[in-house]
Amino acid sequence: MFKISLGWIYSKNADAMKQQNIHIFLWSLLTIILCESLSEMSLAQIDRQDLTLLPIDELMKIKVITVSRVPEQYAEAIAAIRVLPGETLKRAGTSCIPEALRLVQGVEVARFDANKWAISSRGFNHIFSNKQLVLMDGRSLYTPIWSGVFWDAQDTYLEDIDRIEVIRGSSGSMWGANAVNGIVNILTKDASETEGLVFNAGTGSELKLRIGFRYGDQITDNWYYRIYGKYQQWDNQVLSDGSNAHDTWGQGMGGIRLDGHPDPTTHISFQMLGYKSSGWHRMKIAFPNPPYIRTTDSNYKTSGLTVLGLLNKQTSDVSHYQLQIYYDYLTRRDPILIQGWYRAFDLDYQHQWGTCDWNELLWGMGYRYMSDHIVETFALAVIPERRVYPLYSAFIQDQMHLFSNRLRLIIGSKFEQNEFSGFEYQPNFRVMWDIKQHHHIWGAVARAVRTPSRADLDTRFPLEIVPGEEVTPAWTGKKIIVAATGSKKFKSEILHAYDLGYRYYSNENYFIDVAGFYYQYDQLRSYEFGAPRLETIMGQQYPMLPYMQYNDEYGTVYGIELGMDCELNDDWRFHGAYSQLKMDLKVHPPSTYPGSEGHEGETPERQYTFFTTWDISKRQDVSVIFRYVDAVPGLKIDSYFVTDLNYRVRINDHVELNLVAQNLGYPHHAEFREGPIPFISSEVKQSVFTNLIWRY
Amino acid sequence: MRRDVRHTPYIWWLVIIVSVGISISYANTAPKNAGQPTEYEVKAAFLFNFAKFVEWPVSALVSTDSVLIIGVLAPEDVVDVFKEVIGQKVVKNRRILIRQYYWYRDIEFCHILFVGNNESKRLPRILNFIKNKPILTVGDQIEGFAEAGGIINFVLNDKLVNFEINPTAAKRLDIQISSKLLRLATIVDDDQEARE
Repeated sequence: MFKISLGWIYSKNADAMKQQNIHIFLWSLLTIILCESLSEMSLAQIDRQDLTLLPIDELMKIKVITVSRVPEQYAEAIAAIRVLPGETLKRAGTSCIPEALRLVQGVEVARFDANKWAISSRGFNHIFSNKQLVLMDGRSLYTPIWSGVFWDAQDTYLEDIDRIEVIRGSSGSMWGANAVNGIVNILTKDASETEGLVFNAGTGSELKLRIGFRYGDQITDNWYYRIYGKYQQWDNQVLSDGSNAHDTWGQGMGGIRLDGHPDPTTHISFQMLGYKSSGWHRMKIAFPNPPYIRTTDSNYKTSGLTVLGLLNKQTSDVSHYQLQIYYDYLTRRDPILIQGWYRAFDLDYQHQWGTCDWNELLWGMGYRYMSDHIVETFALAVIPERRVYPLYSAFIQDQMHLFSNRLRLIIGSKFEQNEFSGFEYQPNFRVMWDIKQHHHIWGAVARAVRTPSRADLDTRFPLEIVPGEEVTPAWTGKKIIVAATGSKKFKSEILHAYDLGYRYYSNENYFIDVAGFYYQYDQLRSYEFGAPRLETIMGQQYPMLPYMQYNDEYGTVYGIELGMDCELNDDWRFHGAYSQLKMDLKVHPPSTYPGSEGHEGETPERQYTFFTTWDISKRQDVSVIFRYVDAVPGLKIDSYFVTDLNYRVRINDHVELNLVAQNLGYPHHAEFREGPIPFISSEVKQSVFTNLIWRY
Repeated sequence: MRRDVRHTPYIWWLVIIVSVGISISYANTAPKNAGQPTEYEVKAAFLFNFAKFVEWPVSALVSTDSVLIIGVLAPEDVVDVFKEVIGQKVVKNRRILIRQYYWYRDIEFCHILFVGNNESKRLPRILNFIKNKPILTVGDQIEGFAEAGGIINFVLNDKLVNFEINPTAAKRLDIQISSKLLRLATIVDDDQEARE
C-alpha cells in the first residue's frame, strides 16, 4: 500500500489544488478526526472484567461492539469484486446510481452532460460503453441497439437499494456476452425489509428538486409489498467557457414490489416499474442542405415499463433453483435524431446442486426475445427499421472445494446463440487458494466476447458533407455524405483475460483487495472507408462515402487495482480505492485506422478515491470523499481532484437531514468529451444540496 | 486556468498518507474500545454458561472425564477470543478445552459445537455429519439454525446478545437444558416430527 501511496506524491498531474480555502478546511477536518479518535483510544483503557462471573441474565443486558462482516460469498468470490451496501450510498450522499460507482476502484465514471454518463471498468469508456454489463434485480439494463446503458432512464428509489455488486473483469462465463470488462449488479431490498413509510424531499444548486416516497407493509403472514415513487429535476451544466449548456433534465418513476416466503424454502417476488424522463441535449448533426452541419438543442423524451417475476426454491439441503421472467419495454424520442422503441422478453432458469461434499454444480438456461423499431431520419438510421432477434443461452459451472476447503476451483462456460454473430462460447477457469486463514490468492483465465449490437450491423450515421471532388473525380460538383455505417460482416470482439488477485479480510476491521489483470483483445471495432455509392435516404438518393466498421483493432490492456476497507473503531471508517492501467492497441495491416491511438488516450490511466466516514455522535455523521482522475489527453481533459462532503443529522427518531456538497475544487470541470457521436458534452459544476427524510 | 498551481498538492498527499499510516498502525495495535466488551467476548461468556446449565447424557461424559470440549467451526480470531475468555476456566470440575476445526469433516468428539456464521451455507451437511451424537450445537446468528435441527442459536437484538433454543432437538439427543436457560431464551421448534 505504502509504496503506491508514495507514487501519488510524485504525481505529475496533481494540478488539482486550486482552492486553498477548501483544502485548509479539509486539512483541519482531517486533523480533528485524527485527534478525536486518538484521544478516544487512550481514554478507553479501562480494566476488563471477567465476563464469566456475570450471571447469564446480566450478560443479556450488555451492549456489545459488533463488527461488520464481509459476507462469505464476497470474501470467497473468485473475482475482483467490490460490494457497496445501501448504507454506504447513504453515507456518501449519493444522489444517483452512477455517483455510487465512483467509489469502486477500477471503474471510470465520467459525466458526459447533465443527463448522460460514461461508465466502464478497465478502459474503453464511452457513453455507449459496450463492454460493461449492468443488471438491476437480474434484469439487463444494457441496450442491444447501441450497447451501453441509458442512465437517465434506469433508476430506482435509492433508499431501497440493498447493495451494488461490482465485478471488474471478464464475467462472461456466468453472465453472458458483453460482460467483457465487468458487471454492475444493482439489487433492491426484499419487501419484507422495507416496512413503513419513507418520504424525502430535497433541493440544491444542481439537483434542483428531489422528492420521493416509499410505503411498505405486510399483507398476510409471509407476504409483503412496497410501492415507491420519485421525481428529480437537474439543472443545466455549463460549457467549458462557463456558459449555459442547455442540458437540464427531469425524471419521474414509480413501482411496486411484492415478496412472499410461503415456506422457509420458497421465495416469490414480483416487480413492476415504470419511468418517464425528459431533457435537453446539444447535438452536432449533418443535414442535406447548407450549412450541412448544424449545432442544435433538442428535447428528448424516454419512457419505459418493466414487469419481473422470480421464483426461488430450495428443493433439498443441497439443491436450489431459480426461475425468472421479465418483460422490458422502452421508447426514446428525439425530434431530430431518433424515434423508436425496444422490447425484451426474458426467461431464465438456474439450478445449484451440491453433488457431494466438495463439489457444487451450477447450470442454467435462458431465452430472450428482443425486438425494436427505429424510425429512419436523415441524421440517423438503422436499416431495417424493424428487427427481431432472439438469444438462446446456457451455462454450466462446476465448483470444487478441495483440501479442507482451502482450495477452490471453478471451471465452466457460457454458450450463446445470437442473431448477429451466431454461436459464442465463453469459458473460464478460476482458482482460489487460502494461503492462511483470511489470506486468499486467486487467479482466473477466461475468454469473453462483446457481441455486435444493432448499430454495429445496421446503422448509418452521417458525419459530414464534403465536396465530391475530394472523393472521386466522377462526383465533382456534388455534395457527398460521409457516413459511419455498420457492416453485416462485423464479428464479435474477443477478450482473452488473465486475472490475478490477493484478498485479505478479517472479521475484525480490515479488508484489502489487490487485483491485477492482463487482457488481450482482438477483433475490436475499427473503421475503414468503403467504396463510394449511391444511398437512398428518406426516399431520396444521395452520393455517400461509407466509413465502415471492421474488426481490425487488437491489443493489450493491463493494470492493477487496490481496494481497502478499514474500520478503526465503531465510529470511524476508511475506504480507499486506487487503480492504474495501461492500454496498448494496434491495428492489423493493411488497416490504417487511427482510432487505436485514440482509444489509448481516451482512458484515464490512474484514478483514486479516498472515502472516510465518521460518526460524530449517535445522531450525526460526516463523510468526506476525495477523488482524483488522471488527465485524458485523447479527449483533451485535464486531471481533476475533487471533494464530496456529506453531513447527516438525525433530528429525532423520524427525521433526518442531509447536507451534501459535491465536486468541490473547481467552479466546473470536464469529465468526458464528445468523440464521433452527435452529442456535445458539458462540464460538471460544484454543487450543494440538502435532503430531508422522514421515516415512520 | 489551472496552470499556475502545479506545485501545491504534495503536502496534501503527505497528510493523507500519514493519517492512513497512523490509522493502520493504530488499528493493528490498539484494542478497540477496551471498556466495552466485544460481541465474541460476550458470546464466550454465554458458552461458559451453557456448559454450566446443560446436562449431557452419561454416554457423552464417560469418554473424557476431566475436560469439557468446545469445538469451534469459525475463523481464527473468534477462536482466539474464546481461548482468551474461557480457555482457562473450569466448569463442573471439568477444564474447558477449546478446539478449532477448519472443516466440518474434522469434527471429532466435543460437548459443544460452535458453528460460525460463515458456515451457514454448509449447515445441513454439518448437522448431518454429527447426527445423533450428543453435541450441544450453538449457531452464531445463523438464520434457520433451529429449523434445521440445531439446538441453540445466538441472535443479536440492537447490540444485545440473546439466544433461541430448540428444546425438541435437545431432547432427541438426550441433552437436558436447565429451566433457567429455557426461561431466558426464545423457544423455537424444528417441527421435524410434524414434517416426517
